[in-house]
Amino acid sequence: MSTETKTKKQDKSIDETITCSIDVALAGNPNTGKSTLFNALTGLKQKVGNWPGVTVERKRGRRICESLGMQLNIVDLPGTYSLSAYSLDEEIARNYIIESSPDVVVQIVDASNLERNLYLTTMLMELGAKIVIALNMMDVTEKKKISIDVKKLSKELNIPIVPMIATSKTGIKELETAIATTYEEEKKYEPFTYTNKIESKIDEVEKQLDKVENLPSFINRRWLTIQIVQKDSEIPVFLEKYSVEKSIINELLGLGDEAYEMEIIEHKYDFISKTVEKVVKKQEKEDLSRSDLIDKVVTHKWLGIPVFLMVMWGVFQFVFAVSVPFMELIDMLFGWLAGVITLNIRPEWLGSLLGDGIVGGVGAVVIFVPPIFTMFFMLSILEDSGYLSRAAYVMDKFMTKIGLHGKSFVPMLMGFGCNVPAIMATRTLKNKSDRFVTILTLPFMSCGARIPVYILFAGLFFGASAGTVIFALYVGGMAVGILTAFLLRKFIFKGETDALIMELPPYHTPKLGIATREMWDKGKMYLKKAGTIILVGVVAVWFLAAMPFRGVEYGGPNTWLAAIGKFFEPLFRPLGFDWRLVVGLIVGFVAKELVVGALGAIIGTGEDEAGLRSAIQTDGGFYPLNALSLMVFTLLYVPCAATIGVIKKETGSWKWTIFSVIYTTGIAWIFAFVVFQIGTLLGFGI
Amino acid sequence: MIINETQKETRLLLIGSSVFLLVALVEVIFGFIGIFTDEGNWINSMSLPPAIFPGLATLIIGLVWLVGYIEGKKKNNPSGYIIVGTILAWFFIMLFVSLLLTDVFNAYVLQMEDYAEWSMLEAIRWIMLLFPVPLYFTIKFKELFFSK
Repeated sequence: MSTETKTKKQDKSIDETITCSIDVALAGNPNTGKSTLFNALTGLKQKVGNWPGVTVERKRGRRICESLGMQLNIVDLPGTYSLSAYSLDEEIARNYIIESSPDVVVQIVDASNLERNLYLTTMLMELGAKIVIALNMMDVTEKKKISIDVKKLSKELNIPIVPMIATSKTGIKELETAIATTYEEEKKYEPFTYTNKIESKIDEVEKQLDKVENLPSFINRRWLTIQIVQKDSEIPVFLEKYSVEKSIINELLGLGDEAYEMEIIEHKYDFISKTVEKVVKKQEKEDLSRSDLIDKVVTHKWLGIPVFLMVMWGVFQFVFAVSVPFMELIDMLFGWLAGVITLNIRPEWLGSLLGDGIVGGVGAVVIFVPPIFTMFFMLSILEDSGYLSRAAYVMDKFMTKIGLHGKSFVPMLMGFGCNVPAIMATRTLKNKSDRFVTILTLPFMSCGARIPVYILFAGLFFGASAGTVIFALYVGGMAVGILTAFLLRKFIFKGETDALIMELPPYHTPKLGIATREMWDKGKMYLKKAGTIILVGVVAVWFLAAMPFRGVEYGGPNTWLAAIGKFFEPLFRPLGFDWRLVVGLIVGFVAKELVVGALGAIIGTGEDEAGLRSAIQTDGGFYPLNALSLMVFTLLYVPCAATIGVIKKETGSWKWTIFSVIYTTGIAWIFAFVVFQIGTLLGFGI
Repeated sequence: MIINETQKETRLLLIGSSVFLLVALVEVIFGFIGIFTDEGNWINSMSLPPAIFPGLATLIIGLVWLVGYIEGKKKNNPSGYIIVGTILAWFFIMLFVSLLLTDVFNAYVLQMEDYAEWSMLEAIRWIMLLFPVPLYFTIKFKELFFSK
């Protein structure tokens, strides 16, 4: 570290007691407790999950270590098994370490799975990073009766190692000290050496590489050379970024051979297994753990899928039934408030705006907080227990058959919460085709914002079977998603999907605190939307439902809102929708939460939820069949403006974004049409 | 963590699975009969008789234990089947108890209109009455559930 750089870093100090500022990157395999350690170090509340792929972007935080007089600027990188940049998350991690050159890289290693985790260590060593190993999950090794000679391991690798338990914050202070020491000292480990044959190849490539101009000094030459030797497919893109001419890149790659890759990997694993043999002692006969025993059943080829489906059905039943009384109480509160405001505030239009528009409209959204929060809570419980990873594993064979990757199942499950983070989570898929197919499939996963529509109409028209109908809608959404994936694979994104390599984390009793925090984090997004976009939306809906001011009844058939609905009504007649439902669906393009609010303005004329329900029940225009058709349309058409935005961002293509909007809406129309027309033929009409 | 799959323990799985499978089959069959015998009512409300899904849940638990019994007979460790079947049984029993309590709250505390003619019998599911089976398994094989 040069004096100049040190001075620059000291300038960053925010406190007089802080004498230096250290950039630390947290790297590690998925599900090793990286996010837990990040939270423990920074005091932040980044999402922690008991399944791989929770962190798909870099997250930043900082820690002040007063006793050591230093500030740690910490970046949590996505979990990766290697740094070969096969997937977007690996690329993010690798490029950050190369380009940002953090002062220290802390690799979180799962102590109970040392052999597999050390592969990443060898790659970090190749990059020439200053490494500290946080040997996490020492409690698990104790349970598994695995003993690790930490001192010996540290000596073998020439890397400082801190044994720790991130969940209980054990070893944090020691880690701070190790980071400070590593930052100040020169790195001790030697470059990783290979067989003579590979080393002479490395020399040959290195000589050629020396002739290349423009290469920034922060790129570790030996690492780059090795990538060229093994003809890493991502290297041309990497070099092009630094303006290296194509002809030179081709010349360099001509020196490499893909056959070296296997030899290099084997050499690394040989080193790892010898090291592990020296430092790890396991008890002679290892009993099957409780997780292994459970896995035999939940991943059973015949029992796995039925068990999963029944569990999900149970979750939906619970969510629907338990929320009802809370919804009733919230509804009573908002109904009372809206009534008081409308009656007492003058002029009349202002009372109507505040009472019917804002309180009624926002109330129509807030009322669905109980089922949405309960849904997030239940999904968090399943996730934290480790069961959701098994669900992905169980579904893999099936997913591969229909052209999706096994890992796609994880974003698909996330999609039940919100499509936006789910689409971002596809970054864990390394193959571009797999990723695009998953992104275009995800809008069919029924997000939490659609729940209000289901609960309103299923609750009204399907009585005791409401939970089952909602469950069927979710399954139906998945089925349409699967069909979409199959078609996309068959006709557009042709080719095989990559094999699923996914770690199954051990089961543990879900922690109420984690589930509650997770529920709050996701649920507050819904509340936040209620206070922002939905507030604006309900005011807009109120305005359109009240205009023109003179001589029209609020939400009546002569308002501007009605005019919009009536304009599009012919398109939706074959689905059983009149102009009022059309208005709800049009507003739903912005956010699905607005659908019920808009219907409240038109049908319930701004009344509370009970008023809306009673208005729908007594209105001849609504009956089970068109309610089902409406729910099917809501399930399948484009989720919201935010999802459209994130599809554009993640695909980087307007073409696929527009395709997604048109395709989802078209599919929604077709399915709703089929439901309504077949239902009518079978006598389920009015 | 291996239990000694003695003949007696394997037989317990068979008894547990038989009870659950029998009840499940009766419940599912009656559920389906309900669709056809109560046809008019079903079409009007488009509501499936509520017994089918609880019956399927009971059926799956019974199947899990049955496969455990078969594995035990083959001298394989059936512990996982005991654990999963029992956890699922508790999950569904607690689910239906929660639904029952919610209905009680809706009917008697909130006095919701939809519950005017509701009776507690409507919310009772067969699986709730089968609680002695998972309870017995939980106590008998407590080391599978509670050991560290």
